[in-house]
Amino acid sequence: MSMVVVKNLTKVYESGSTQVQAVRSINLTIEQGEFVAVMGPSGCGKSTLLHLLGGLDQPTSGNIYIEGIDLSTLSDHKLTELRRRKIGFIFQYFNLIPVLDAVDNTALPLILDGAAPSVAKKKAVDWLEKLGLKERFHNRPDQLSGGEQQRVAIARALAMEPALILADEPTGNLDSKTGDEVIALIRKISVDWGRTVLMVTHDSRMAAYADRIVFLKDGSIVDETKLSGNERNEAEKSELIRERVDRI
Amino acid sequence: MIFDIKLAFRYLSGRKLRTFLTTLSILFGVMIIFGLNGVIPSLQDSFRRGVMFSTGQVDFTVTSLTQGPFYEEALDRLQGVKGIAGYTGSLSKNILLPESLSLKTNEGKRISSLTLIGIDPITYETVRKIDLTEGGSFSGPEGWEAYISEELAKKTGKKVGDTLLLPTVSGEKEVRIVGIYKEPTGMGQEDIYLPLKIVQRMFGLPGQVNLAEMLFAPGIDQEHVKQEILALLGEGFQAGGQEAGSEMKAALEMGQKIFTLFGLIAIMMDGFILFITFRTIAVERRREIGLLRAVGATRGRILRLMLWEGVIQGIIGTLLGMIAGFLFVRLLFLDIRPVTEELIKMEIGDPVFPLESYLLAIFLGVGITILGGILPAIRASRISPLEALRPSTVLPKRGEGGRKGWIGTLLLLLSLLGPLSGNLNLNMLGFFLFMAGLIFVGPVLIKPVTEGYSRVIGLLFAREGQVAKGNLENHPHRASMTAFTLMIGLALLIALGGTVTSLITAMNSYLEKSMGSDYILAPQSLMLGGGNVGADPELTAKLKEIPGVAEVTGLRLSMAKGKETNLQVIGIDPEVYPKVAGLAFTAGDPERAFPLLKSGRNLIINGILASSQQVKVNDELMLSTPEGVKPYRVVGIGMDFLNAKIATAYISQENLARDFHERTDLLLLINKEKGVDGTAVERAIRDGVKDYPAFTLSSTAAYRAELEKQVASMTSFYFLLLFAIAIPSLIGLVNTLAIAVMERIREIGVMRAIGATRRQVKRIILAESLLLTGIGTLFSLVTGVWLGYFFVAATNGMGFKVDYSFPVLGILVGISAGLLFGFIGAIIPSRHAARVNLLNALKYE
Repeated sequence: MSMVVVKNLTKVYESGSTQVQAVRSINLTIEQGEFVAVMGPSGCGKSTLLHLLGGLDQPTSGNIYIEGIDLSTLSDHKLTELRRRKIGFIFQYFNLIPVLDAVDNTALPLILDGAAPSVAKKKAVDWLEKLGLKERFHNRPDQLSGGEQQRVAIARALAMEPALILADEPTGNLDSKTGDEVIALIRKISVDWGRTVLMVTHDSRMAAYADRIVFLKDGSIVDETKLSGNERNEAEKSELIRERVDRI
Repeated sequence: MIFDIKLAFRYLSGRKLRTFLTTLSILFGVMIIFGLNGVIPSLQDSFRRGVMFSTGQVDFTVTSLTQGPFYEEALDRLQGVKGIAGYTGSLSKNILLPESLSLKTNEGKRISSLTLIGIDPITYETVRKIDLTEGGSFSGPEGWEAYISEELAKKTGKKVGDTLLLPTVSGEKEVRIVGIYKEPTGMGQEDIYLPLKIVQRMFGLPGQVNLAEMLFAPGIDQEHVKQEILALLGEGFQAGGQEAGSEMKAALEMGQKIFTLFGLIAIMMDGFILFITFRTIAVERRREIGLLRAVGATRGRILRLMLWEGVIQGIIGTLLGMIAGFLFVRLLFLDIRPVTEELIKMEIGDPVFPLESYLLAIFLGVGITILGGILPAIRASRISPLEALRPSTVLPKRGEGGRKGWIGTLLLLLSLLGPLSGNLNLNMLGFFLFMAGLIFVGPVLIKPVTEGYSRVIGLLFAREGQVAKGNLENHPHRASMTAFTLMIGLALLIALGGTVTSLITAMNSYLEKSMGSDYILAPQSLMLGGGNVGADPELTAKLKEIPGVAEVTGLRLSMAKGKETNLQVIGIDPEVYPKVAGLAFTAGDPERAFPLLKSGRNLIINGILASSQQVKVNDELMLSTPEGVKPYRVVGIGMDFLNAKIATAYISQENLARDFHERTDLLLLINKEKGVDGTAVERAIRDGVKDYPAFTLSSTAAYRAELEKQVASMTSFYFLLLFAIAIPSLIGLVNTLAIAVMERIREIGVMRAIGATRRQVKRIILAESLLLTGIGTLFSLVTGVWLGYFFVAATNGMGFKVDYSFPVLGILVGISAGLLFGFIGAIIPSRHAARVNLLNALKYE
């Protein structure tokens, strides 16, 4: 069974008397364990697509299936549960709770799911250790660097062992060195830990780490390319992607 | 739940200033409601020490419906009742001892009141035992003899054979101590037993008792016997013990209502401030709320998270508020104790806080916090995860502001029907419509009002004023809410200030009208029935014979029961009274009303009685008297100063004697003849009353001046209270300004980055604050005048006639307070804004 299936997905926003079609009749399938990047110019609908897949927004028409579950059939409560248990989010601006430390931020989805505090804490600590944040357990976000904050956010996204990770410009707020570290981690999520990853990015260097890239323009998929199994290195992949983007 | 509380604590400690200010506003509200709830119980507790008997030892006690005296021969009807082992009638009263007659304890303290209990020694023994440890029984039914308690004997050093000087209606009399008894006195009052006939003579109540006590035979059906007793005695009797001074109780109950109202106003203001605070918190945390929803927090979870913050603040604010309330009342007592003790001759103890006041404070303090937070919390929980993650750039839909403005205007117009109708309930409805209309129309008014102030602000603040004006116009809703917070506090200040001024004016005018005589022989307590012994008609006759005295008249007092209301009945001489004093009439003609009192059962009632019984001139009023239920006709509605606050009826002294068996004068008013030497007359009067130390002679002018001074000193307490209520609105203003600064950290950072100095940033905040207070003050003037009108109408509705006076002073105070609040409210937020770190602010998300 495919992890994500999207059928004729459309999202229209109304702004005064104008209608904006952010996403137009998109059809997409993502297999389990696949790492897919979504690219396109500003305003092409890539973030809208990600939000729709994450159940953060409602489509105007079309269907989204996550592990075979049609999102349109779910109540708000069930949708929330799905986000909590099956999806992990990584945002551009980290979106950590400022008054909680790294452990508490990581444990947040577990706590929300009713896990015992000790169990939640242990899992959070395990994930933070895996992500190299052993010395940072009790630091609050304002005491962490950008890269560290994003790693805490990644740990939070993984805490519930979700099947799907949705990342919205995860390196957009980081310097290139830190960005490389973070994207390598995201790659690891997919390859080593077997999660399905959908990442929105405008950075071809980051997109080069994906298995497949989907190109959007004006709300529609205009191109796709597979990158995994390719002999080329990341720089070459990045160059290839840039050419494809320019063509669009 | 633990995580929710932990997160709530983290948020609260993360915004220390806001948490402090919000908790402070809760503290003030609870302080007022808890503190004031300790005032009346304390007075009631001091007063309750006048309770006559501990009735625990007997099986059944009976008093008259009016709690007044009744003829003892009524008890003869009980002779045939099977099941009664013994019964007795007694006459008891708490009396104040004038200073010259007061007892001194060994420590030098003054015992200024006693309870005299007249007993029939023979029948009393069938029901109760007096355990005499020294001395012996009364020599006879008519000896001036007394038993005192061991405790009193020990305190004062009195022993068997010593004498006591006691006030009576025919002057002071000496009583010899013949026995000392061992018995707990109950509530701290000193009980002195005397023969019944002696006490009847002392109070001018021959053949009368005010309490019947019974012991039942063993094994009988007590309930059945009780019913039989009440049936035999008739409709003018009830089961239960004796209480002293119902008029004092009524006054305390009214005081309790007023204080509770003040407390509720303060708490409601809190609720509004909390609503604004939580609303702003929800806006401030949109992104975090969205994140929580994105990672799987349900709506219910978001709701609970926000409410926990409120609960924690509510608990802390309530606990601190109760401590503050306790201290507040202790300080208050230091101020009012001398005045109160002087007015009503009652020793006021320390504040007493019954369990209900704790529970009420906790319930309201925490409850109002939750109530204030629940709507914003529900709204926050409904934020969709996506909306919260994106910064909102969507402007209000075109026409939305306009639509709300029209709704608000309609509500404002409808609200005018309230005062125009003249109906109290419609007036109140009109006021709420007015407030609702203002909430809708407020944001729409921001721009025109700021335009109106712009010239003034421009003169004071030049460029910064324009920026401040623009800030408010860009956020009209927030500006309107902030102005509203201030408006409520100032409106209350204007309204209540105006009402209190109107009340004082009214009281002084009653004082003027009620006291037209040259001299007054005043009792010790301003509450006529509050332990004053009074004088029999012989004193009046004696004073009339003094050369130079033109008129003498007395006020006599008894208690009656109307329809579910206890009232005091004052006996006056309808011919003389209007010459030496008067009533402020609100209905009926005084020229006709007073003469009508002389014939038949007619009465003049005060506004409070008219309102509670829903009667008007020419209506009939059925009164329960010791002679049974009697119909009286209302011939006028008027009031005097001393009895304005208590349900009162004025009847002729003849009717009082016939229906109520009362002939004792508690207060005497004297006019001298014109042109006569006042000094000589005064000297002669003093000489005439030297055996009556319970009375104090003064010129009415001096007495009135003293009362006016005491009324004025009590009003300082009310104004203190008003400011205490206005303080939460100041806190609300500071709070919302502080929140506004936090919301605009990035904006402030940009301003600083492009060249605004710290001083300029401060001035922008200050200009905003002054504009907001200008808006709030403008709203408050209109609201305050309306509210004041409503309060006065409500007071009139309760029967206390007060003329509405436009609160000029209140408005000036309101404007000054508004300006002051504007400056003070801006201090902390402007300093905070000026100190914002540029770089951090620009990175702020």
